[in-house]
Amino acid sequence: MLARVADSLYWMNRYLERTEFSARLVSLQVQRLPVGSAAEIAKGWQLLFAGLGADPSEFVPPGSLEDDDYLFADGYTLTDLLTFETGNPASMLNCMTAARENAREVRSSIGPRIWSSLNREYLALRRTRLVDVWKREPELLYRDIAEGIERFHGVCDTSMRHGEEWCFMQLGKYVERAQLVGSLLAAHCGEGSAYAHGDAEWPVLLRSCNAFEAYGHEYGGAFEEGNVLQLLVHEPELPFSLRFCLERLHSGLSVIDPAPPGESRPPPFAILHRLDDLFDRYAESSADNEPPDSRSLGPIRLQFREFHDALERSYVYYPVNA
Amino acid sequence: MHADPTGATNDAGLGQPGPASSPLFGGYEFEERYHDEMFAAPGQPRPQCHALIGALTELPADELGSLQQRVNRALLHEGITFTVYGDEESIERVFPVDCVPRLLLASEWEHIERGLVQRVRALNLFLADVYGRASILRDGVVPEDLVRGCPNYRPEMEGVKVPLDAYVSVCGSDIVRTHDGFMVLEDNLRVPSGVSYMLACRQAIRRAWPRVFRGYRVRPVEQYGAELLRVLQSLSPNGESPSIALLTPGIFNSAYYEHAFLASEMGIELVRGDDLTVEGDRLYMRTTRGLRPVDVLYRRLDDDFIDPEAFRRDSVLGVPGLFEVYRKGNLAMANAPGTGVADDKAVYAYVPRIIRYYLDEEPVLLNVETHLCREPEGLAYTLENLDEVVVKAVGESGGYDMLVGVHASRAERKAFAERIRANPANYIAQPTLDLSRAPCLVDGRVESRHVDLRPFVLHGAETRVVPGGLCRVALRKGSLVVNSSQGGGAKDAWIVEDREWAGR
Repeated sequence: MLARVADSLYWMNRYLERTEFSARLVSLQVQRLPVGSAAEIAKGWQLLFAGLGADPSEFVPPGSLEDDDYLFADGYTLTDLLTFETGNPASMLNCMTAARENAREVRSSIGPRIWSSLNREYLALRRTRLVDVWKREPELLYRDIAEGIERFHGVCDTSMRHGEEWCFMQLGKYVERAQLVGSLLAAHCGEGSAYAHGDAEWPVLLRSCNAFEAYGHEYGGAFEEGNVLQLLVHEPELPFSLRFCLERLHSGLSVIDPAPPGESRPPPFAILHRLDDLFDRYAESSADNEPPDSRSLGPIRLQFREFHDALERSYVYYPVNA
Repeated sequence: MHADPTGATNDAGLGQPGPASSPLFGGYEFEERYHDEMFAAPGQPRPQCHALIGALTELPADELGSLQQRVNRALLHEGITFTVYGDEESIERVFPVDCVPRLLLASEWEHIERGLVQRVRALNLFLADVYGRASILRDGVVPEDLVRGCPNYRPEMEGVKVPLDAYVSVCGSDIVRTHDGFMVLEDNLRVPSGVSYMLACRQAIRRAWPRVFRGYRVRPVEQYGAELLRVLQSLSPNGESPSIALLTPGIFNSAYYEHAFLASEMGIELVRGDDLTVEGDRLYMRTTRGLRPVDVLYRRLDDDFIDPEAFRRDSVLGVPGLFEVYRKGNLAMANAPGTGVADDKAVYAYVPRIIRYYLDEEPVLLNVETHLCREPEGLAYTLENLDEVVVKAVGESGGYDMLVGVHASRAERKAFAERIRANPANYIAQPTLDLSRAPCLVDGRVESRHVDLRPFVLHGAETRVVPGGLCRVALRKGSLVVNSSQGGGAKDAWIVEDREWAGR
């Protein structure tokens, strides 16, 4: 496969994952506008921006948004910023546009069905204006965005050979997911978190990672940071956990570069092994009944970032030798 | 003459009151001056068109409107678009496709096919000759200074061995029809585009009219990709399982959709210049597992841009050193560099003589009368008749730098005359042709619009023409310009058997 094609497939899915994640976060925030207290809503916006890797103080200065009179008006502005604002590189429309541009680059590789599936979702979002949906049920817009992207992944999963192309797409999806979940957890958890909050935020965090029901089954109704971390960092069977992302990176990379073990393998393999070690170390301490620790998040997040760099250096921007 | 040609006022043609009285054709203009593709005369549909007219008139008006909307929506979702340069608002536009197909009888098609095969064979012989022994120039059949002075003549190609002597592997000639018959308006021998729109049109229209399509037993076009792949494989200098790639300028090129479509159809890589590199004497593409050699390049990039070391120094789209790999015979390219000399609009005037010279045959298809402004008589004729002729720049395509005298203002003609005088060798003039007209769906009614036809010829070990072509339509009422960049659209061209309609 062309190196440039691999890169476009990878970035196409990174942008889609970012769009879908943003859509879920904004949907949850919009749903609490009619019911939450002004302070809770302000906290929600701060956590949301921090979770997306932005500095919340740029958008939600302390003390703002705490007045009922401005709650919806400011909510509209922030929602628009996150959804349609072309000046915001991370807005959902800009991310969808970037995903589509990457898909256009690889139209001949993904085939017409996959292309049309993405193009339809892009056109639907581009045709929408927030002002038209804001006064009805704005969360439906975000449900449609997220479901549209899930549908797209479904089309890819069922119509593509799960070879190199598909695996680069998977790497894009799970690298992005790991970074977003890691960033969201860092905002919520640990003594060092700048956004310390009460129990009301845990359900929102879990729902934003499609993990609310799983948490309930596992731990019942009481929300504890240690349990949330256990689920979203270490649970191997939960699609939004960091451990799950790591397993997907392992399987994707083994298809992309199937050199037998023992041979010298490129740097991304070494990084995945380092991540294995970090998770194993945690499992050992867990067996000793030590409480889950948010401090393990930092090194894990760092390794996921390094994996991205190593991937690009090894398979896309490598030095040329015939 | 304005009349309802289905016979709403004169029912002699159909002999059935139903379709004939349909308001659908109420605004249809039949003019004797133009060959009408659907009607032989007012009230007299051509025999092969009865079933199509029946299908059109059976549908309620709102159904017809929604049919056209469905076609447009499908094209939008599938991203069947082209790019308009200089339009900052939206560089991608959906290719406008009209719902009413154009019908051509097999006998008409076979005449076109014979003429195109003859033409492409002769033009390939001409190219091998002008870059080789140049006998046609020495014999004075085509002026040497015209060929050597042509901006698309590439001296770098002199003496280069071209696989199978197939300089032109893909050709898209523009055919027009007047009351005099079918004529070739121009040959596109460099990087002809439009074939993907032909295939997209076919898919859309077949979906829109499934029963009618089946009833007509239309000749298929879908094999184009497989046939093109066979031609490209046959050119390979390096064995039987060549590595083939399609070179595109990228997503901002107006024909990018087509490049992606064709690469996908053929199962070959779609590459940009920055995916390719020359190492030693070979061309390679950069893959996730290192460099992989390329044997055949179907390049959709003009000569000027393919290699900054050989042609335009400022090109960032091509590959440095590519032409040297080609010259050494380690790479085949379709089409070969330098083919533009044979589709130059001034050289076009000599094509009938070229056919006679190499094949000793009379041309099957007519050429349009052409006046060369490089010659004093041609220049004088052009300037005296500027209000009647169409003037074209010899090296341009896509409807750019041309004047349609009858539609131009006095000031526009005056300004164009100055350009011609300043550089007469750059222009040719042709009479304004009475292009045939075909029915199109416009705002829920059927109206007539001017059309041409671009069939696609593939030339390798043998020469084949895909039955049909891109039927281009001048969608603006009265316009003669069919280029998509200038407000044109397309319709599906159906080749249907003659015998099916005999005696109807």
